[in-house]
Amino acid sequence: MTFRKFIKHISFVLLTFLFGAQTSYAKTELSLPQNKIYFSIEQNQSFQRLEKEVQPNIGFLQEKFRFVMSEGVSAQNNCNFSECFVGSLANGGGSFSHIPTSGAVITSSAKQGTFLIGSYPTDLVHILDELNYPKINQIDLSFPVPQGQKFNLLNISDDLYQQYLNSGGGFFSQVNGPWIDAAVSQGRDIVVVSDFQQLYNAAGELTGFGKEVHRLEWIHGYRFDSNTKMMIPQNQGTSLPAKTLQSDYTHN
Amino acid sequence: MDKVFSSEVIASTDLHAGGHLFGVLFRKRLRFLNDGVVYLEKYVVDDFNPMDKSDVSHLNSFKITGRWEKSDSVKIKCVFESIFLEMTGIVSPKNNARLIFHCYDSRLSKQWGETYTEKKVV
Repeated sequence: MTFRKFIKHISFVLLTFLFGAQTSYAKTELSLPQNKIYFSIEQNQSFQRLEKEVQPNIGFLQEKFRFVMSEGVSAQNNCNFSECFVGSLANGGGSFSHIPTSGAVITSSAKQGTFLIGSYPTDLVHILDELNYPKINQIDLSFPVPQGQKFNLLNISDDLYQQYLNSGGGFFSQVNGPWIDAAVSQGRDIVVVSDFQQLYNAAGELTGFGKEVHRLEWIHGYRFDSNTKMMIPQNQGTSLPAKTLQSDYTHN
Repeated sequence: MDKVFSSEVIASTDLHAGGHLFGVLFRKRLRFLNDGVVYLEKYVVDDFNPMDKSDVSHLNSFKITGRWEKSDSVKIKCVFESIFLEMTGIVSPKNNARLIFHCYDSRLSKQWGETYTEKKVV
């Protein structure tokens, strides 16, 4: 009898341990993106149970958190969530919540200084907003990436726009064109964020995005690589077709 | 038939470089010649804020040569091969000075409608 009781007791303890460990392990997951630590919680998991289930992993999490902090991955430990999130995007550490209509996937692997070209109404308005991207007030022909940003976008101020509003044109040849030329001369990655339906407006004329692609194609010999959603030098893209007609536009 | 037809005013606009409005207003012109040749031209009527100075000269120098034919008593077809454009039209039953076209761009796979009104040469 004593031996039977002992076996029962051991079995009970073992089963309790196994089920308990399984439950805690399966329902509490530590995820470590570049500068955030969070738990994922199953939909049907109650918060009362969560508190208990987290307990066995608290020591491990604390150790992991110390490691992450010491590695400097999360340098902004004083910022709130939204600040961290925006900072993460600006530095390419996250991905956009707006999905580019081109299908481009922009991740942390994007190179510093990557140029993003596309249509404002469909894509860039959202991306500029997510990045909290600053306005350009004056033109520096090297078009440096603003401090704290990873990507290069053309986002001019109202004052700068006004200079061209009453000048009968000139914005593209004096600002936008040189911006594209800078991307080429600096050897930057150029990611297309908009669908090519946006190359032309309803009047059948090239949009600003269309003029940028036209300049890349017909002045710099670039072509669109549909796999990477990037404009690439033609010698790398072999015989990729042009998206614009040469006769669509006359560059100055 | 040696006639000239002009479109309504067309606004070519864009929001660009941070959401700023650029554009020009222009008209299209179809010039039909008796030998089956048709010219499609554009001319700027208001350069309120072109993105580039060359926009105006580019539009004003736009001239594409195509072929036209009257396929039956009412239907007119214009084909501009170099820009992949086919325009199929009729004379308006309510205004015989007006041509109504359905346009198809096979390169961009786009289709839309346009109207042209006869321009009297004085």
